[in-house]
Amino acid sequence: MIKMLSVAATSLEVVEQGQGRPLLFLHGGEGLAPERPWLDLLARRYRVIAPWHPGWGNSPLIDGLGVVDDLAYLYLDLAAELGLDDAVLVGACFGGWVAAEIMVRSTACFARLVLVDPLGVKFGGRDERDISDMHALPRAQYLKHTWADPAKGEVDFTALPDSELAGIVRGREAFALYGWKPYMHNPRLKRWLHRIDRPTLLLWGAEDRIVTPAYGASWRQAIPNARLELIVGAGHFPHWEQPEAFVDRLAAFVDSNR
Amino acid sequence: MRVWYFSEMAYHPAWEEGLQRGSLRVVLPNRNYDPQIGHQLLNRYLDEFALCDEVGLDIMVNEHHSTSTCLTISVPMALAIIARETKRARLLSLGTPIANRPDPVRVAEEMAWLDVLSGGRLEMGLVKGAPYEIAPANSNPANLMRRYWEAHDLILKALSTTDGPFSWEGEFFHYRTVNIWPRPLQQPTPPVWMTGLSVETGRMAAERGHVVGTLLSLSAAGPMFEAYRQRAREWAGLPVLTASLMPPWSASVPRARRGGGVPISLPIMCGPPRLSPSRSPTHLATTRSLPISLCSRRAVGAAALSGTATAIRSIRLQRQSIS
Repeated sequence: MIKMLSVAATSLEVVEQGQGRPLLFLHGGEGLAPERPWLDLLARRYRVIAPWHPGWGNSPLIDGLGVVDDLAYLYLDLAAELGLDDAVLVGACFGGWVAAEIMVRSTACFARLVLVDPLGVKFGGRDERDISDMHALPRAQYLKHTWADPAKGEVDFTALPDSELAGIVRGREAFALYGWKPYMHNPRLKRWLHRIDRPTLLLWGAEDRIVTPAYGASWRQAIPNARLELIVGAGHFPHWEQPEAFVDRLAAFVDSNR
Repeated sequence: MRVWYFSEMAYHPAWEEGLQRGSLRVVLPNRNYDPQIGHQLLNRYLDEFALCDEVGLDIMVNEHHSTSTCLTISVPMALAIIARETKRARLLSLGTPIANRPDPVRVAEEMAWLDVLSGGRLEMGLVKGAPYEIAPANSNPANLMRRYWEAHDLILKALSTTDGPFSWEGEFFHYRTVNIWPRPLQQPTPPVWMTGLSVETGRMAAERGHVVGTLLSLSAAGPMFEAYRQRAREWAGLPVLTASLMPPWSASVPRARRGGGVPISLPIMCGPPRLSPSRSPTHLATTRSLPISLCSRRAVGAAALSGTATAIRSIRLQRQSIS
């Protein structure tokens, strides 16, 4: 069910589906794509709450701005408003960055954290690029960086209605707005990752070339109780490219040791 | 009619390589630039600008970055030289890409300095910059227009404030004290030019009494200029506006790739007569009003192009033979 919620004096488009343990899913730069199979599969096991970030879908930007800090506070407010407790927080790509920003502020509502190919942190030196420049890669290159099988990522933009195209463009604009410079990371976030005092799973597409598994290994070292698992045959979007494996691995982690 | 001579001071020796690789800019490695040839070219281009003054042309300079098409990387740097080598020509900066500049007050300082140096000959273009300027500047494209307008407002305030210092705490720019020295010779500011393609830009420019220009698109110019004229009538009661054209290339740059005499680009301008009510009497006294051109664009363009090219070429040849 898709609905508009009012949170922190802004409105948020949210899809909610399934029953059971609440799972807040924060989407990546390419958007939510609830029509892909990942959502149905995930909603068979959990009560999935998945907002479109401000700037994507029908969620307006907060005060016309694109500031990741604002998203962290927005979702903490949302979690409090929904009374989330013992919930699972999942963030993919850009949403992983937001999820980490949430958890360094407060882990009160969430018992488990799953980061799927997250952006948001810089580990390398000033001459190295941790995160591939998604805004500069030509389309064919971009698909090779983001999909294990690039053909699966092909979209015939000419066949899409204008409304859908406008939505895609709006999401791309928002993505740039939030993370242009510093590029898709908060230079101060790494310093505070030790505050994440919940079991954390880093779920990584083995063939992700936007943020590689080596970058995931740096994340694992920075978060106290984290483990890194690779999904074979997936690039930057494991939940889209290998949805069954994605949900199985996520559930094995989330449902363990309860 | 005013005719503006414009050269991007191109490094054309790299164009064959660039075209083969699919880009003349941003990703074309600068090993394709020979600084020795560049030394000769830059000096030749500056000589050409100086000659414009002698034949009665006005001068336009722009800037781009990371490109073989334009080696003017700083409008103020080029105009500083040209201001000293010319006496009559209006000096049009078109312009400074202010949404890509980290320090708008520095822009105001440089523009004021140029205006004083040139004796009030500066025409000050505050431009948004082409999309391919985003990468070298690494400025956020998603809020570029908000940054543009904040920089625009700050620059004009810095240039026109005489009882400062004032402070500025905006969305993008923060200053404790703004109080620029020198201040411009033309009061309250040198004439401001904008560039754009949209009806909205036409309206915004008209409301501020700016000149508006467009590039590469006659089809965009029509609606934008019409919006400009209409808004200017509503806003300031201005009955007449001027249009002028600028010849688009340096006479010395080969045009073979574009074929025949087709111009690479054709900037077209539309602006207020220098009687805008927003301008003080001091300003009117120090600037010359633009004559109104009612000629067809094509006729004006053709005359301007052939006239400039021929004049520049012949005088350059004369100079070479003398030296």
